[in-house]
Amino acid sequence: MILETDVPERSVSFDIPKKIYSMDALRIAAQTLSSKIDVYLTESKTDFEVTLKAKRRDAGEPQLEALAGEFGNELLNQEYRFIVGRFNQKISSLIITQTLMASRGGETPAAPPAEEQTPAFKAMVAELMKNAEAEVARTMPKKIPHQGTPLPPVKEDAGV
Amino acid sequence: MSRLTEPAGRLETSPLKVAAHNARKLGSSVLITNDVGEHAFLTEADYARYLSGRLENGDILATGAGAVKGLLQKDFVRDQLDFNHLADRTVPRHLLDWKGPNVHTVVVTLRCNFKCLYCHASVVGVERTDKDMTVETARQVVDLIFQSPSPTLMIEFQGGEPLLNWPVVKFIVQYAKEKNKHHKRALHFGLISNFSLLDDEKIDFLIAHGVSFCTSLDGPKDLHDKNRIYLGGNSHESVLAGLRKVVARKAAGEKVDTPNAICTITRHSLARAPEIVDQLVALGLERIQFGPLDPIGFAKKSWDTIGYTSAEFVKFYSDALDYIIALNKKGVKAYEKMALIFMVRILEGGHWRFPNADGVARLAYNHDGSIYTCEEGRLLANEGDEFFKIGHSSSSTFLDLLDHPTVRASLMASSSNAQPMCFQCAYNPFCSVLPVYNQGTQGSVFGRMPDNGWCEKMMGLFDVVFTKLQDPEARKILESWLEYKSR
Repeated sequence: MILETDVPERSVSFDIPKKIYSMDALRIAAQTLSSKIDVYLTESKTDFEVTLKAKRRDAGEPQLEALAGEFGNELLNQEYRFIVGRFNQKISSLIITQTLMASRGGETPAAPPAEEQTPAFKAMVAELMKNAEAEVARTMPKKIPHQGTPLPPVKEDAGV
Repeated sequence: MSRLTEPAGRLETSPLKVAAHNARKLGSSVLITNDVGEHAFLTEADYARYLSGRLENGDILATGAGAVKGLLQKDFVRDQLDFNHLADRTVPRHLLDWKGPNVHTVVVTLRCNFKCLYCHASVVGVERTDKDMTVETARQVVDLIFQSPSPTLMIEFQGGEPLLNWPVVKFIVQYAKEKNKHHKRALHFGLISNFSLLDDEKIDFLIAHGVSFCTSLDGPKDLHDKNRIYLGGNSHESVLAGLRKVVARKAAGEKVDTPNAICTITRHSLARAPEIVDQLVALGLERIQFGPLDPIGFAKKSWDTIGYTSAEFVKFYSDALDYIIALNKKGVKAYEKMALIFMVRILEGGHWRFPNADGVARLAYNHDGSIYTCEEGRLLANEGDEFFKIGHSSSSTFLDLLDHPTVRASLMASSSNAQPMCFQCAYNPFCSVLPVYNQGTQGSVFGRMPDNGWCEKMMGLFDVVFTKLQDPEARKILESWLEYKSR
């Protein structure tokens, strides 16, 4: 991979052969590294012409080369993942679907026990909650807001 | 009468043809593994014979007279596969009969009275009660937990320091037990605490309700206090005091599990494996558990001070495991948790506890009711990445959570058969991909294995364990640790 760096522009450019890499892999690699770089793309008949622009303002030549290397690794990873996926996609999808289905508890998940709908159970829950809330009110340290109340924003001149 | 075809038993063919497998050279041996998690060791010469397809049934290999029979029984011979055996091993390995999330981490507060160097948990000061879970949110969370069809439910209290919101811990225990009178699940509770606020009244309640205790003890006093700073107290002393109280209750015949202490490994710990192990053993703790740091969450910010390479951790782990095995030989009862998990996967073919199938095997509930596929996903959200947030206790049902696209994406990423490098790896059947680690360090749930720190660490750990398994004496000790599985 021949790199052309432009330090003032914080950019590095290189060509990627279309014969090996797909647009999908390029897009995923760009998305994966989007916290570090913006990716610009043009294309010729045989190549994608890629320019990476670093988001860090202090990116020098070594950093730009490292970013190009990381992008190349990610691109290779994604293209290879497509190949692995073509081999294993069917079985992987079957396994995942079966796992999800089993984890739901089957096609018709069990209904909650009828006992939980009785007035006695609801009264017991209300009593437990009341006691817990009373303990919160009784035991929490003083000079603090009630639960669930956001603290007011700190004023800039508050001296903290 | 069933229309399903009975799977074929073994067909007797000769010579023995090679079945699909992965291989890894370990010292002078070659480890071979297959998709259902069977393994065998061969010499390089025997592996070459096996690969060439020239092995015969009666051949004697360097690894023993029964080695060829072992290859047959473990389904390493293509024309003699036992499909019943393969099916039996495949179902649990791929969670095909999984019954839904069983580990539920409940963060009852973000408040903490410690200021640990590596704390992922993005804690706040003790005065910030606005970061406590309310009683109403706790009720919603318990209701959601019981929507999981899992026959076993483990509710883990975490924080912050969960004892700072003690009334809500108590409420969750009481409410869950009341609900369970009708649901009849195997219900367990675990408290993960720094023990600084653990008084006799709380211990009474926790023991009476069958809650197990877990804390963090990073080693000798100087090491522990350097890592885990207690605002206004003696960090090391407070942990030891809590551990001793619970151990004493157990010794007095009360029905409580031996407390666990997780030892988080920082750069300062790397050269001190024997000291760390000795301290845990001296306290009467049988389980030794190391918590390696990962460069995600809060730990990422202090990585230059306390972090280390995967190779450095693997070296530490190897030293520690050697030391624990040596103690076992002297009659000391102690085991290492990660090795035990590996033993279950390697020797029994199953996944013990949660297999990192985030969202399907475990869920995490934040103080405000937000729900994540796992605890690490919640920690990543603290850093601004909410990818793993899949719902809220006030508005989501269990099926909403399971149907969330992030759960499917995490499962796909966890499937090592779909990962470059993983699908060719000999450790594939025993390993777990961690989508949160990948997202946090490499920007994608799928990760990039050749320069992935998690992968490097796991491969190193498996190298250590499989090397030990070739030593008959060490293997016997590692196998004996399986008895701790049910504890």
